[in-house]
Amino acid sequence: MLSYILRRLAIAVIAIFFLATVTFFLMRLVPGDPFAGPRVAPEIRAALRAYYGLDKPLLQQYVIYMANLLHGNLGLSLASRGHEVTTIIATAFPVSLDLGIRAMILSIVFGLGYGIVAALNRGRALDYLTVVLVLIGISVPSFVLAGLLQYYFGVYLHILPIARYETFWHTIMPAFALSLGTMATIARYMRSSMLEVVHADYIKTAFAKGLRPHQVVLRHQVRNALFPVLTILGPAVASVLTGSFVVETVFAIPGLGRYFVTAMQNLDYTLVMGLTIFFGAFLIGMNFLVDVAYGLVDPRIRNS
Amino acid sequence: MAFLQSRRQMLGVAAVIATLGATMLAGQAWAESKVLTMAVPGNAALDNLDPRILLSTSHQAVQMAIFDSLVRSKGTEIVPAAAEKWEISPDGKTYTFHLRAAKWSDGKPVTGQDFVDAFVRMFTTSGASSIYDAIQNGAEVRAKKADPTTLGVKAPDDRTVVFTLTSPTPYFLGLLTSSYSAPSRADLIAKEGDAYGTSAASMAYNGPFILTEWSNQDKLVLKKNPSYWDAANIKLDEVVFLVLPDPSTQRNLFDNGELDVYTPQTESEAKAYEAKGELLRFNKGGLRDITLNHRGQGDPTKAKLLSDPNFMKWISYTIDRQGFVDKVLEGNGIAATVQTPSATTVYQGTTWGEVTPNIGKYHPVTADLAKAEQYKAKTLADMGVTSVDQLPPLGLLTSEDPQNSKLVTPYVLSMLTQMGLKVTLNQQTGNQFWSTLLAPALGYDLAIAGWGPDYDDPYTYMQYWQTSSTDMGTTFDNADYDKLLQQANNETDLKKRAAILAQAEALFSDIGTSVPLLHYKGEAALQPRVKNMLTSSFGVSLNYIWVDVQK
Repeated sequence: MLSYILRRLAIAVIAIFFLATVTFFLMRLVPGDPFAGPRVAPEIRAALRAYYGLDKPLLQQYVIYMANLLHGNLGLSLASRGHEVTTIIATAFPVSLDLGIRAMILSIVFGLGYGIVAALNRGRALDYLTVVLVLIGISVPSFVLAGLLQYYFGVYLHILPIARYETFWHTIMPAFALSLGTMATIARYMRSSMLEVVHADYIKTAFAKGLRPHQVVLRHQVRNALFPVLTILGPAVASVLTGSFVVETVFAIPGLGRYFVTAMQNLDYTLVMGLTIFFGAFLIGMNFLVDVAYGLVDPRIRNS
Repeated sequence: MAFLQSRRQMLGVAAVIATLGATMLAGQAWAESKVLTMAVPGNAALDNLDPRILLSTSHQAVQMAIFDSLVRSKGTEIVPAAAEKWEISPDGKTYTFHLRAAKWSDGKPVTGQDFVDAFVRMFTTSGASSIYDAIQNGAEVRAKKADPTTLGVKAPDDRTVVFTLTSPTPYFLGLLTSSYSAPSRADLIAKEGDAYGTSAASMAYNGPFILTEWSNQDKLVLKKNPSYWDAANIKLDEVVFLVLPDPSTQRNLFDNGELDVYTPQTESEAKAYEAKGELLRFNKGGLRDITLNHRGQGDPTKAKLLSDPNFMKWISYTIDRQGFVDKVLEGNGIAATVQTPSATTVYQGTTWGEVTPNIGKYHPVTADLAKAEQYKAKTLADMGVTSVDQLPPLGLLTSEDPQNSKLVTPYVLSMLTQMGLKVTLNQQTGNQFWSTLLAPALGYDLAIAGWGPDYDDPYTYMQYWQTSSTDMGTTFDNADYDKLLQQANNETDLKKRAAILAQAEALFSDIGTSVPLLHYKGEAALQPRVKNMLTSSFGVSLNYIWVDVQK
């Protein structure tokens, strides 16, 4: 197991190195100057480029960046002037994480629940209802959902705060808006994978040895059906926990999500790099956890 | 009686009553605290509030409350602020300001040197310092051709600041109202380095309010500065700015009474607030135009076409400005036939609209298709072709950001297409747009561009067409025009100056690089409890410094 983890870790480091390299050069292919703006005198623009080291040859900039990266220094943001990239991420990520965990709990609990209920009631009203809900969940864009929720519960019914992230009540709407898509995906996967295993030999065996239906469902069917769901859970968790531009914008939540869009619009090289590396590392970490979780769910992997 | 049997119990009850009373009093005091809640202007985090780092009007909208410049704009007036009085020399080239005895929020006195430091920092590190180029050696210091000590801003003593200008600049006081010219704290900048301006604690304040709390992506809290010289006239106890990136979230919060100010996104929205008596309409500066690249991106055929005044007028006479403003913008705008809005002050008591003879003369208010046909024929003749098809295809550069662009761009594109031109739309965002528009790239044929005024004088709308200007990707390299502006700068008789500016405007309107489209109208929805919100036609539109909130 230890060598497995070490091997995965080495691969992760190499993957992040490649990610950083490719992003660094791709970013510079985007036309434009991060310090361009209305009324920026050319002398001042040149001075700013020099201050942030953008006047050096690209290869040299790359070497400097990588050396700083090894020391954990992601540099100063070019657009959020005076702010360290690490500070920006360290300030905004906990907010997104908090919201993301709430959304993920909703997604997993309700997604799995709907999937199981739908599969057990295959071809009946409850199944069709779930299918319709799943379809809505996948196809309604979050900005529509977020806006509707905000208007209906905040302005019309006055039962939840309209925006901002302060108390538990503030978290309900954004968490739900953020969870719906993932919830629907999980429900869909869970339903189909439940149905796949329903005719498996071990289910028949379980019934044959006289287990009660709920025991069969919980111990055998659900456990085996979780497999494909776990596979999609890694990337889903990574993307939900690192924030959503739309949900954070609509509900005015000071999270990481909006930076993914604004950093690129501002050509904020250092922030784009920092976010890419951070997200990459997080994604790799999540996939690693999923692999470990496979072991927990499937004794065949655990014992091999 | 069964209860209140002992003295101790009575005391206990008395104590409870007293506590309740005190709590209620405190509650009342809290309820009476006057708080104004607004969205952070520009709908985005401000990142840095050092007046010399980020220079948008969104930043200035907060800076105007926490820093006191020498003078302050109050409605259409300019009133004393950090300076209690000043003298202007007869030749208009020397301004002497006498500072009042004031203190920074950390207790240090505000000195003349703080203003000198501010201007040196502006000219050495800050992008838009060129609007202050009337200051002696300003441009030279920026280009590192002169030592910062030679800058025409001096502090002969702690309470005096003297500006030496290269030419009489009638709008100079207006320039000094901006927080861009607010005093600076060299000691704190040296201590904090890059982090100066990024947090409430990194700065000191000398304005009517003090920034006490700032979480960059979430909110800013400004508390009244009790030691401000004019504190008696500052009614608000607190100003709260919330970071609310989505305008519809702002509207929902405003409708719910949680936000005091909201800028309507469309004219129909504005009219709904107007019907409720919650709308404030005001004179707001600003121009939207189509800018032509006379250099044609290095392509001689394109350069010839784009710098042909007949082509510029062919476009101009095809456009129905009034129809566009009335029908598409629902009246939220003013058809523009010159660059400077009519309401701009040119000298005391006189507006540009009253002195310029150029309105409607070079560009029509409504479309004139007969004239457009004539200009079309002339253009084709100039280009030596027989049909529109033979003209080179052109690109129209536009950005997602500017006001009304969602409405302006489709209209302009449809007009150009209607003329038979082959036009491709090049829509870019944020910095990419500026990188493409501005020198050295000048990567556009036609661009939807415009201008926001820095002070209340026609010169702000005219200076950027000069050859030396690097603003707005301008390519109007015309020595006669430059000479006229120079002449206007050196003219101390303001009426004569106005006539020279009108001459420059005529020249530019006739052969220049811009087809003016519209001037803006300002509007804001306010909660009825908000009183005395002042507005400005330049810089920051809404001035909340003297606002009062009532029950």
